[in-house]
Amino acid sequence: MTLWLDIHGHPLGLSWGFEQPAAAALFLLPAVVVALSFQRTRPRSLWLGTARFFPDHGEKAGSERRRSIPWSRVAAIAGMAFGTLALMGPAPAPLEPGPERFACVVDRSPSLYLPAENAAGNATGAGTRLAEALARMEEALTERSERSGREVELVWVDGSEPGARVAGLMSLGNRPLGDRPPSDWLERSRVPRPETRFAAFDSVGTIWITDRQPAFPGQRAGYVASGGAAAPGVIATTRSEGGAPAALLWSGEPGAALRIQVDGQVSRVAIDPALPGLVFQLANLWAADRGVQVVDGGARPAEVELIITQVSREPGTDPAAAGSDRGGRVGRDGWTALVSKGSASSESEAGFPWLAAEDGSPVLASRPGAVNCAIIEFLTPPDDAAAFAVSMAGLFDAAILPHPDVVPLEERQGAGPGAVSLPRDSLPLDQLDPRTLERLAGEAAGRARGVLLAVAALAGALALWLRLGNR
Amino acid sequence: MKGGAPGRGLGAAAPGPLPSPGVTFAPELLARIGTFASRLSAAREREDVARRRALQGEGEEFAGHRPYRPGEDLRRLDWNLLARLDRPFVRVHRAGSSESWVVLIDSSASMAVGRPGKMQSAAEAAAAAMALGLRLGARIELRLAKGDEPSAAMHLARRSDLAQAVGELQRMDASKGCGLESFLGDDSLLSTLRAGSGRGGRGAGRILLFGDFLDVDPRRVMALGQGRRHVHLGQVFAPEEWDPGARGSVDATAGAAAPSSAAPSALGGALWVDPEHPSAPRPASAADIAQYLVRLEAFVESWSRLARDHRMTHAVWRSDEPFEDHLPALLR
Repeated sequence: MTLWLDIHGHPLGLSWGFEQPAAAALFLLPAVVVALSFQRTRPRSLWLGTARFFPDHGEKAGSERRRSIPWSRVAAIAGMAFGTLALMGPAPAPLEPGPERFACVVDRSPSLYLPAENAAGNATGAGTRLAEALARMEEALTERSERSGREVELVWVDGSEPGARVAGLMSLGNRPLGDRPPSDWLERSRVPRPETRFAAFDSVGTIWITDRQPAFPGQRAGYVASGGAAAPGVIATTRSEGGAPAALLWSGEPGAALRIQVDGQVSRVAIDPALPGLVFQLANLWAADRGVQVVDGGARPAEVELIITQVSREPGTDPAAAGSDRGGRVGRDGWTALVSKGSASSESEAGFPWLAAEDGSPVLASRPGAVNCAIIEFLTPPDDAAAFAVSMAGLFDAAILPHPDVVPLEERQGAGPGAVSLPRDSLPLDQLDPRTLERLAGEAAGRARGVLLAVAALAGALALWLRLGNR
Repeated sequence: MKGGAPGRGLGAAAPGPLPSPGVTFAPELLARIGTFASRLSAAREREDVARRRALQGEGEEFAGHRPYRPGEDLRRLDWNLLARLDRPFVRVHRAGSSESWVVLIDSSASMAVGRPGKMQSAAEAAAAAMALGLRLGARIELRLAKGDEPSAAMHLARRSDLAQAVGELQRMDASKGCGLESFLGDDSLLSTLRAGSGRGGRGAGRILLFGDFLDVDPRRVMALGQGRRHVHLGQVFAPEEWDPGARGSVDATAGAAAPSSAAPSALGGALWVDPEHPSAPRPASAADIAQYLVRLEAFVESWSRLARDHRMTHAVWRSDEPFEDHLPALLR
C-alpha cells in the first residue's frame, strides 16, 4: 500500500508497512463471519398459535433460503477488519536518509600550491598543500559518511572569487564526494588572487579548505588545514648591484638574511614590433630598467610574464573601420598627445581600459599579463615626455605577472600542523532531516492507527445500534 | 379444532417439539394461589355484606363467624356466642356458597406456544379460580381432555379437592389435548348445564373458559350464557403472538427460546408455524407482521365485544403475566 503525503510542499512518497504483520491472522475472524453469513441456512421455524393471522404466501416463499447479511453484521465485520488493521500497526517504511551536502570554500592563495610537507619538512606525497587538504577532508568525510550512513555531496566555492557566497548554492549544482574541485583550481593561478576572507563564509555546512589553521575558527563552519613546513625559495625578483636581473631568495629560517641569486629567475616580456614607435621604445626602456628579459613578440602568454601587443590595424585595412574618424587627443597623468587609432579586434582582448579617446573608445587597455594598444601612431608627441614615460612604466608594472617561482615571503612561512574540524551540521537542503522524517513518519503512523481505531469503534457502535434497534 | 400431531407435512421447515406442552405447579405457585384465593374471598365477603344490606331477605347460607366490627348491624350479632364467650361475633353468610362452577381449559396444540406456555398460564388461572370458588363454597366441575376427547368431569366441593385438581392439571398435554370447541360440543356438558346448576345446587352458576379461543364458535359460547349462568372468558396469548418481531420468539427448530432476530427486517426466511396447521408455514415480512397484528387485534376485539353484548366477563393477558393481574377482573 502506498500513500502520498505532502510534507512541506514537497510530495514525499512513503511506502507503508505494518509493525505487527502477524496480527493479520485476525482477519480470519471477519472472514469466517462472512463465510458463515453466506452459508445456506435452513429457515427458522417459529411456533405461533396465531400464525393463521399471517397472510398466506404459499409454500414457495417458505422454502426460500436466507443468504443476505444483516447490516449490523456488515458493520461488525467492517469494525473487525479495521480493528485488525489498527492492531497490525500501519507505519511508513523506514526512509533512506538523503545525502549530506557541504560547501567547500577553497583557499587559492599561492601557499596552497607549495609542496605538501609535514612540520618536519618531509614530503607527504600528496603533491600540493591543497591536495593534502583535500585528501584530509575526503578521509574525514568518508569516516563521517560511514558513521551516519548518509552519502556526502560537495559544492565547491572559490574563496577568492569576489561576491562568492555559500547561501543559494543549490542552484549551482554539486559534485559527488571524491570529485576534485575544478581542475584549474588545482593549479596555481598566475594572476594574483584576492585573499580569501573565511569570516564571510562562516555558515552551516561550510568547510574551509586551507593550509593554516584559522586564527579564529568559525562558529558554524568547519575547516581542513593541510599544514606544512616553511618553504624556502624565491620571494621576489630584483636586480643585482651590477644591474643584472636577480632573484631574492629566502632560506626558510626565521630571521635569516635574504640572499640574491644573480642568474636566477628572470621575468620575460614580449613586445610587439607593430607597436607605435614611442610605445615600443618606452617598453624596451622599461624592460631594461626593470631587468625584464625581452623575448620574441610572438611568444605565447604562458611563456612570458607580460605581452605588449598592437591590437588595431592601419586605417583602411580593416573594412569594419573604414570611413570612421580615427584621430583624437588622448592623455592622462599630466601628458597629452594627438594620436590616430584603430579599433580593438575584440573587447576581450582589450582588457581594462587604461587610456581612452575623447569618444570613449579605449586606446590602451590592460589585464594581468597583457597590455593591448590600439594607437596606430602619435600624430604629435606627448607634450610631457617625462610624465608620459612614468605613466606608461606604471602601466607595465601593473600588468606584468610575477615570475612563477616567486612566492611572497608570507606565503612561504610554515603553516604549522594540519588539522581537520568538520562542521556539526550539513547544508540545510530542501530535503528533510532524518530525525524530522522519523518524527513525521511516527505521527503519520499514529494518525493512521487512530483513524483505523476510530472507524472500527464507529463500525462496532453502528453494529450494536443496528442490532439493538432491531430488537 | 383438535390439536392433532404438530409437524406433520411441514417438509423442509419441519418444526421441533412444542416449547411448552405441559403444566407444572411449583410449590411457590401453589402458595400464590392460596394467597390469591384468600384475599379475593375476603373481598367478596365484604361485597356480600354490602349487598345484603341493600337486599335484605335475600337467601343466604350460614358460613361461619367473625369478630364484630364497630358500626355493623347488631342484628347480625350472635348473642349466644356473646353470652358464652363474652366477646362479640357476627354470623357470616355467603351468597355464592351454593353456586355451581364449571371450569374448562383449552389444551389444544396452540396452547403449547410461549414461555411460559399459554396452557400453563391458563391452568394457573383456572387453579386460582377454583381455589377461590372452593373458599366461597362453590361446587366446581373441572373438565379436562383425555387424549383428543373431553374426559369425564371432576367434581370439587372441598378445599382439599384442589390438590387433586392440580394433579389433574399437571397431567394435561397440549400436544395430545383438545380445544374448547370440543368441550362446547360435548353432550354431557350440555346436559349438565340444562339440568340447572349442577347437582342439586342453587344459584345462577358460573362457567369459566380458559384458552386462546382460536377455534371456538362464538355462537356456542353465547349459548352458554342462557339463563342465569355467568360466563367468564379468560383469553391468553403468548408474548410472541402479541409481537412476533420482539424477543422471546420461539425457535421451533431448536425447541427453545431464540434470541430475537425476528425483527421485520431480519426475519427474512423465518417461518411461523401454526401448531394446529403445521402444513402451512407462514413466511413473514414487515408488511406481513403489520397485517398480522391488525387481524389479531380484530380477533381479540370481537371476543371482547361479544362478552360485553352478552353480559359475559372477558379478560385477555399474556402468558408471561401473573394471573393475579387479570383474574380479579375476570371473576368479578
